[in-house]
Amino acid sequence: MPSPALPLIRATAANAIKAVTASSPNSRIPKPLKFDQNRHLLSRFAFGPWGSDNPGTPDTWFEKQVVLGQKSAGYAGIAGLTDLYPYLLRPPAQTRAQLTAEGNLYGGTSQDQVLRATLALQAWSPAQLYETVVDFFSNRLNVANYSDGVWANRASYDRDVIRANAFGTYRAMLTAAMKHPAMLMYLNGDVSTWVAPNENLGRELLELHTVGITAGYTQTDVVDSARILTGRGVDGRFSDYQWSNGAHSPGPVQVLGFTHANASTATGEEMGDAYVAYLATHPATATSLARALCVRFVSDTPSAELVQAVADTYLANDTAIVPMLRTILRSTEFWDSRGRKLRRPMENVIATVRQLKLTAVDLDKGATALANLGSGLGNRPLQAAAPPGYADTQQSWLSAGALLRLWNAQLNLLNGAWPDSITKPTPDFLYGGPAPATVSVALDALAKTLIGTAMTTNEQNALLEYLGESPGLSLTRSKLPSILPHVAAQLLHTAHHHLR
Amino acid sequence: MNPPPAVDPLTRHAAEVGAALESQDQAWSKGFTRRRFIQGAGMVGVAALGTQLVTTRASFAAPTAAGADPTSLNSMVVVFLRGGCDGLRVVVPNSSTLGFDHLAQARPALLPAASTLLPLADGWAANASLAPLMSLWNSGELAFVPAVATSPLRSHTTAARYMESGGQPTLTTGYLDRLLTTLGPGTTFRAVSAGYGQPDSFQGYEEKIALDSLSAYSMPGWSTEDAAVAAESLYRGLDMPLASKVRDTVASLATAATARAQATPANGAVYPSNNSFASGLRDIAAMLKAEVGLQVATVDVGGFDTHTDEANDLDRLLLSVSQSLAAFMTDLGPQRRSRVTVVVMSEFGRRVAQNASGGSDHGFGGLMWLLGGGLTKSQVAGRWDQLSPTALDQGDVRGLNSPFDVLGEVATARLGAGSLVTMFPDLAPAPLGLLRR
Repeated sequence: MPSPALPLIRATAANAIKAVTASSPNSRIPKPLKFDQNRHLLSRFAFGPWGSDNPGTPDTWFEKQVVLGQKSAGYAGIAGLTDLYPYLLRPPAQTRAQLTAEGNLYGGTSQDQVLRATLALQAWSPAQLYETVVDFFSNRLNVANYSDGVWANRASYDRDVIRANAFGTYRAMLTAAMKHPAMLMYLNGDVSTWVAPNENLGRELLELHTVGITAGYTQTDVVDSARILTGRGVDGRFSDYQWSNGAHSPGPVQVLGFTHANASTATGEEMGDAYVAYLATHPATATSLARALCVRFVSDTPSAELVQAVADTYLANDTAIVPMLRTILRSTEFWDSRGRKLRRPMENVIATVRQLKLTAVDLDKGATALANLGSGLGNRPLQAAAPPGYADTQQSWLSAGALLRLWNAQLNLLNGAWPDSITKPTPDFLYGGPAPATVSVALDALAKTLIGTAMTTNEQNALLEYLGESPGLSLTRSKLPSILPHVAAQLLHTAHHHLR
Repeated sequence: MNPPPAVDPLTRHAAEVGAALESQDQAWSKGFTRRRFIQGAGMVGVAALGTQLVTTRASFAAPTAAGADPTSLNSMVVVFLRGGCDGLRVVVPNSSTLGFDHLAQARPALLPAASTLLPLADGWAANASLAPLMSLWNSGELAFVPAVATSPLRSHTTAARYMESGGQPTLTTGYLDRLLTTLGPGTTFRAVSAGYGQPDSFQGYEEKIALDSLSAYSMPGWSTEDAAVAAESLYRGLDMPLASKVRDTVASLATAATARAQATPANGAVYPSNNSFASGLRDIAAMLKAEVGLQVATVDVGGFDTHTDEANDLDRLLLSVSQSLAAFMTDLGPQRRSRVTVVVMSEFGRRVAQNASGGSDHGFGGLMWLLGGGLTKSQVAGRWDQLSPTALDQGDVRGLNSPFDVLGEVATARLGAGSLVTMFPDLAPAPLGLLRR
């Protein structure tokens, strides 16, 4: 067992790295992966490295990303994206009017644009930290894209709830979510009234969005949670949030430690905001959110100590999101966790695009190609049907069917299967220069480009067997150039690329 | 007693953190070590059989060999209706004795029109959307168990976890994983989940295959057989669950090809199109027809969380589920399906009273369905209390029957599990007499 490097949280990422590399003989990194600070950083706080580009020192990279994320908030990560996808910026009522004008009121045009924009930004926005945080919280406060009744307001949810607050506080994000027509429609808050409160939103607010199931609330708490939120509705045109005194359930309420006389329906909305703020700052919410972040960024089984440190950061910074990430970045546990996460299927595809530095030939077609690539993977962003969103553990995604689909996607991207949409990697790119003289040198060059490290003997032998050739064979006589995408794909099929 | 020796707090803390990390490592690599142990333990005959199964293109002939334990030929397919299916609208307690009067008062908007109901037995009646399944009722191949108990918390995730852990939410394994352990080694395709990932009931040590599409289940690349060998070789010697999954995936390719050859529905079966549940069942039928040694399969259907507009939404969903199940049974045909038992379940039932949105909120006692081979008869089985305001559990149908008694009976009577101790550690089995041995 490794000797744990204490303390867990250091003043800087550089210090944490130093502590981890000092005990490197005891590294917990699974073979054949090795400590690689750049690839680790960019596999966790980004959707994968962009080719072999060097991010610089992690502390500096992170702070630059924070500034970049603030500058690129919303959809500014790709110039021209909102011109291409104008629904991204429309308020719900305008979206509704525009969809009506297009003769496709209940159609998915607006939601298609959100999906494509999300994928394009994940693959190609330089504000990668911002996109990983958006991805995390979209999933945490899931409102399934394409679910009933959100055709006019899902884009606004993405923009005004998630992206607007991704680098702000969770309290603000949650407060906005609990007043958003998309969330209200998705979890039936729109039809919950004093006559018979619908428990769906009140329950999930406790279980998924804040304190979690182990916080010790009861069915009575759930009913009161639902009652507190009655009155929050959606206008008759299914577009905008609307408060209604007449729908609110008056009378005393108690949920965990929150109590209120709730004497007048006129103050019901304000009380609800206080309730949401109470939950956002509850220690159980801090732990639950911190744990989910550690599972996203560190490992499927983060230590209780790391979770606590991140939860403490959350409470000490008025529920701000970025400081929690900074705590993770400066932990030795983070830097000792390379390869201890499985990339989720869609993330694997995006990471493939980034590793190969593929760009969109045409932005809309490129984004659409990414969406199509994801259609067989069950993991397209914003599309988890159920309220908990997608799981982010190996157990949930390690599947034979998914492996074969991913290997197929990797090969297709290497083959340039969508010439009008996404670029194809050139041999020069794959070799990192002009074609080498021998098979052996060529394979090493491919490994450097695709997995960022030299191959082990076993790996080199496996590829030589695949080629049926000897290492010293001249490349001009080898079949490697003629099946280059297939050999390159083999390197992307490995643990180097499938682990996060 | 001497005082314990003083330990430097930092050292003690380091030891604690070290222990925690070790348990994390074990959790992360769980399954792999254990599986290696099973292989290492010998079982030469099984290992030899396994090698044959996964590396030749010959169909899996062993189960029909003379002298084989007949239960080793049987299969169980678990259909999970995600969201909490409103059993009271699927199979209606349609007589005063069963409590119809309370039902009529508490949920007028959720009662199917009386004229549309399909009579079953003893006062029970099925929703008209189950019409595609009624021929199975008439042939003794359809049964229901109402008032199935679940977790008291009425939360989707907790109740589903409760059901799929086999009532053992603190265990890290699912009940189907523990069933596989009980049954002993099998083929690469012994456990399959149709879909994108695997359900909690499959969590644990035994190897399983998750696939969303049999037709997409093939190795891409130049010279696909060599490509598969190369992909596997690149993981040679690696000690991680991903490596183990790669080996299993590569080993399963040839068998998958034989199953794909059976993918065309037989006996005129027509599966609903554009329906992942139907295509999942079609793939499972193909594997069953190809005799790949499939023992346990799972497939999920979503959309049962009917907080609003339940009458329309649920009936439409039930119709597609019934059509899919009917196609599955037709595809298998009477002879093949006599070795297949389908169990349909959900995480909980829904509240007896309707809500203000034309729907129902999370409830307690739910409904299980059984279809296929080995049923003693078509029936509505298990305990039931006449519905009345005082006979409910916080407004919900009580949990009078254990889901694990139903699942356990399938395991013992149909799959030949000798004991349920591993599968359901705390259960004192009380089978309902649903199945023949």
